Amino acid sequence: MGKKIIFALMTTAIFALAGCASSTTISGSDTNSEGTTSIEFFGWGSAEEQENFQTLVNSFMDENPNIQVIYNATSSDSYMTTLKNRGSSLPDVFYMPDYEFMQWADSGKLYDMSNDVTQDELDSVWSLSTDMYRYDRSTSTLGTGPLFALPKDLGPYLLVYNKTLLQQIIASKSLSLELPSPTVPMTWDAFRDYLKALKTPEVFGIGSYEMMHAVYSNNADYWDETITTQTITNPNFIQAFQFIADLHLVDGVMPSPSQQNSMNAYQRFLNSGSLFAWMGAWDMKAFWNTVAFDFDVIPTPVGPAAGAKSTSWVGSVGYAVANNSAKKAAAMALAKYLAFNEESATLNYQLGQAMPNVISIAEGPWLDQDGLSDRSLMPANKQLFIDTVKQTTLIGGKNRARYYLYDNTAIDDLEDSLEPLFAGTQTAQQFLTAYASSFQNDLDENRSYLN
Amino acid sequence: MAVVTKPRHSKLTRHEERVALLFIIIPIIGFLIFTLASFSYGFYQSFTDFNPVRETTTWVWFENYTDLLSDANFRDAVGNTIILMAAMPIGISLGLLLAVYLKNLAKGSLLLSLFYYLPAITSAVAVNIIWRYIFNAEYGFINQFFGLNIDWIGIDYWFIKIALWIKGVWSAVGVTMILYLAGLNNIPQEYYEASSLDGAGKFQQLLHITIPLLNPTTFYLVVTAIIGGLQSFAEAQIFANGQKGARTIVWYIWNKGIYQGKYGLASAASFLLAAVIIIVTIIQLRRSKMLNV
Repeated sequence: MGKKIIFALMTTAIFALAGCASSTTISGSDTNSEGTTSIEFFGWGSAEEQENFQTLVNSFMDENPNIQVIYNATSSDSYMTTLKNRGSSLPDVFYMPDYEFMQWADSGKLYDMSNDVTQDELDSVWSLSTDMYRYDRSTSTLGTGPLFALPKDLGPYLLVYNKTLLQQIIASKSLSLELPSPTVPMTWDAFRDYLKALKTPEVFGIGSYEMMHAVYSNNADYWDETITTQTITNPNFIQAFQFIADLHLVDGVMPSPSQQNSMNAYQRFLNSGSLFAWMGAWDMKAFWNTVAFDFDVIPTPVGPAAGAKSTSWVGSVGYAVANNSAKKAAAMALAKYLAFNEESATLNYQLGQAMPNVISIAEGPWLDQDGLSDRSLMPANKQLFIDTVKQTTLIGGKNRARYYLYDNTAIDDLEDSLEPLFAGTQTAQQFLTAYASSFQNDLDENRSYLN
Repeated sequence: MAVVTKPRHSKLTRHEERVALLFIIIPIIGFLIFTLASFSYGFYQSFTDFNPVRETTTWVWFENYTDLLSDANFRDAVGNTIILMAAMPIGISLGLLLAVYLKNLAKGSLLLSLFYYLPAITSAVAVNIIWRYIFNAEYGFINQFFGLNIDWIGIDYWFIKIALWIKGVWSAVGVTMILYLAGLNNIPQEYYEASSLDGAGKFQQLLHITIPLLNPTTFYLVVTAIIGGLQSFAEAQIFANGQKGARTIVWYIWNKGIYQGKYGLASAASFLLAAVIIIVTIIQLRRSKMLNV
């Protein structure tokens, strides 16, 4: 009896181990018996985004029948943790957000794709989006050196307004205001006056104000050019933070931090609880399908500092290929298809996924609204996305602050410490002067990772 | 001098032992891999600055522990965790009173017990989301019903804690009540009858019979409540959405380890927390022996 049980358990164990071994062998091979290479592509996104990407991947597999792509996605919240926990067993192709890029490029885990991409291909997309994924490991310098990812998208984060609600309030209050200019940025004072005039008990002017937009648009920054010395005590920087605090404390046109915590700016905007919010091109599909009001984008208001220019942060996610992937050719084919292919770029914008990477598609069919209809025609001011990326005399775009850091603690801690400022117990001058040494310590720690 | 010899098992017994060992080998392997090995690796990691992206590890001795103690955020998390546990005696006392009330209720006690026990079987995530709506400053039930304008889940240090105390008591009272009800059923009725003949009132009976005889239940509730309180996370993350006044030690560990990828620091914080839980439990066990629980 006992021997039978032992025999049964051992047999089961042997079969289980044999099963593991055989499955490893299959997944470890470059191609299977039918000559098909199987690669893993890992990303994140909502169900809608995953659906869109499965469509793109299917399109790629139709064109490349010898490559089978296994597409997996998770939520954006858990994506980086999942990726980090995979250690060296990385997917062949995976998303690489700009704010994590430096750490990953520095680690040597990303494949240097400089020799796999032609100059023509690079010239076909926005240079800002490809320069962003260059990194010189020998000098720890961003924007130069080998190319470690191809852009999935390039997303200027722009000021969006609820056109329907705005027109209703203007009419109900009999105001002599016009809709904001799509091309000329308002000054901060003009923006504050505009919001104050439109304020109602039920509707806030703006759900929250992006700190980087205020800082960048007042000719300020968080650090010096070497990212080693803090500049948050610079008068322009202080002025930018005080401007944001005053939107709530003085003008009452922005929810308190607690109100923002109970309902974030994005949700408040969707609920028509605020006139203005911020949107990236990736929000388009949700705006088309979730809300009924009309919307459009305008330039970020510009601060009073000398040399200030309306500047929005421009986020991006890249397609990276694992340096230890055994199927780099297939992985690069997929990454290039998703980044450079015109059909992919067209599908991407028609699905409301992103502003097209391919310049000719962005400046041609996208601006001409080809293949778009009804709500998908919005936002009408698509030119602003392009101006932000291309940089004009009035409009600019810049990487978000986290992009420049190996470790994001400096920005996380700063944003986490703002209560005294937004509660009104300290002015921006008092708060930033007191906080400067902590910020500098975080910057020093950031630098220590690169030494 | 007597020689102690090990009893020799029969062949059948040895066979049975081997078979039995096979049955428990899987849980033992699970324990070794998922508990003991993870625990040991975590302890080792608390002395390193493991970088999950570079996959490099440097031995830093006690640096993580000293960093923790000098980190104001960690000290705040410890303070919050302790303050939030202050509602524990209220929950236990209310559970006891409720159990006594239901025990003496002629009709409907079963239905009421089920009703009060509902919070215990409801998902912690759902409970926290619902209470978050209840305490919402703009459209929450409490502010609307009482005509208040309190920013419960805001930046105020105390309001958020009061909100969490209320929610904590509501969540705890059901389990406490059920366990006390079970304990009450084990107290012989004769004790109450005898004390009544001696002229003892209801309050004296509660004080001198019920509470002392429920000591084992109270001990269990206090131990589990302290351990649960020290491990509190959902309240900080889901109910308070990470607001400073509600951040607990486990939230701090999650934030450092999972969000910021500072595994060494998070491991050090985990081991400090584990040490505190072990010490508190030992003290309680010793006290329970002293009290003959």
